[in-house]
Formats: sequence, structure tokens, C-alpha cells
Amino acid sequence: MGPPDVGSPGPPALDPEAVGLPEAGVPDRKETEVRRMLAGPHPPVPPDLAARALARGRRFLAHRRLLRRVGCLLAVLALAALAWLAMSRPWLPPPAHTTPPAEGW
Amino acid sequence: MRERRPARQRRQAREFESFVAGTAGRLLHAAALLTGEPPSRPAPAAEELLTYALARTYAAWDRLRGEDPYVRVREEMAARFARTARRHRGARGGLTGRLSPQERLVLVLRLHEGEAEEQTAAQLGLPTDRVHALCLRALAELRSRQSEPASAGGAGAGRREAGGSQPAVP
Repeated sequence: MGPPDVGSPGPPALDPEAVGLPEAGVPDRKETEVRRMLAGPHPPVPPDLAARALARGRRFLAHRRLLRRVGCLLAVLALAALAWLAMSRPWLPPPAHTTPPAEGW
Repeated sequence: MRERRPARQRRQAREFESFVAGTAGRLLHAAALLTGEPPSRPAPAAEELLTYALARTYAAWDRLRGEDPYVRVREEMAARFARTARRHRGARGGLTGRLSPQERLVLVLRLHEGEAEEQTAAQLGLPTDRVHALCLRALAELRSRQSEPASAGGAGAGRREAGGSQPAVP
């Protein structure tokens, strides 16, 4: 379980040469131009963004854990019900408590 | 295992926070390009999108196994944006405001994030041709917008496909 590489924030492929691969030439120039437009001013990052994301991520984890527990519980209950059914076969008629009438003698 | 859990959680939270500190600016910019919000003021829809993607990435933090968390966040953002594209249909005044959600998605993944066409196509579940077409349309739209004067002075004057003489002012 290697911790993810947090030291390099940059995206992996930023090399402009590697991007417009298939058709070099005219589309490449257009792409460069638009890429420059896209690299304009950035919106301000709220200072509590990481804390908000962390709290939400913890809620996701807790939710997932709860779901897993409920699933386990249901599985155990289903197994117990199956075991009980196999043991006591409630669909068979109950054993007779009286002896059948003796006839013919 | 039980005893070590809090320590592991603390370490993960620290790693996550330093990751966010390093990448939030760029990711939020990508998110704002997706939602079409202008960069001049806070972008609530982009923040929501990014917070969701970061939270999902944090929830999978110990299962990343060497995968770049940045790429994971980008994927989560793209997937959520594609699911909720109807919400982002209208123009919000940003640079990409007049593009359709799908065009914005392709534009951001291909040009802003520098993904290859095939990668974007696989990620969005679209044919490569379609990604190519969407990208071309987004490029044309953005460039025609750039060549227009900032205020609507001449009605159809700057509407022609830009040749190359325009100054590259964003």
C-alpha cells in the first residue's frame, strides 16, 4: 500500500508537443491558441476547500461502512433462517399425537 | 489493526490535505471551465463539483495503489459532470459558457488537461470520431468568440472564422 505520490501536483501530460499528436499542423496552431485562452485567470480557491472535501470523504466512508455492516447482518440472518429451515422442516405435517384406531381384530 | 486505524487516518488526512493544497487551484479552474463559471468571482458550482470529486478520491485513498490522485480526481469530476450535465446547460458568463456540456467536457479533458483523444473517448464512452468532432466544434466556437469584439459593437463583423491575424488576448 504505497501512499500516493502527493509531491508532484502537476498533471502527467502537459507537454504541448505530446497533445495534438494525430494531426500536426493547422489544428495544432488552433489548439495552442485556445489552450492559451483556457490558461487565463483562475477562480479563487476557498480556504476551507480541503476541510470540506475531507469531511465529505469521511461521510462517504462512514456510509459505505454502514452499508457493508447492514449487508453482513442480512447475510447472517439469511444463513440462520436457512439453517433453521433445514433443521425443523416446518412444511412437513406435525407428528400424530394419537395412535391410529386399531381395526380388524 | 484496530489500534493503528486512527494513526493511519491521520496520515491519510495529512497526505490528502497537502495534495489538495498543491492541486486545488488547477483543478478548480478545470471545474470552472466545465461549469462555465467566470474566474473573476467564486464559482459555487465548480466548488461543489470539485469537493465531490476530492471526497470520492479521499474515500478511495488507501486503494489508489500508486495511481495518481490527480488523475483520479479528474476522472471523478468528468464522470459526475457527465451524469449531471443537464444542470450545467445554461450559460453562466464564463469563457466556455456558450458551449454544450459535452463540448466543455471534451475541451477541458483534451486541451486543458492534455489527454489524448483515445483516452478521452474511453473515459466518456464515446467513439473517437465523436470526440474529435466535439473538440473541433468547441475550438471553432471559442475562437469565433475571441475574434468578436468584447462588447457587441458590430453585429456580424467579427463573426468570421479567425485567420491568424487576431492578437492572442484572452
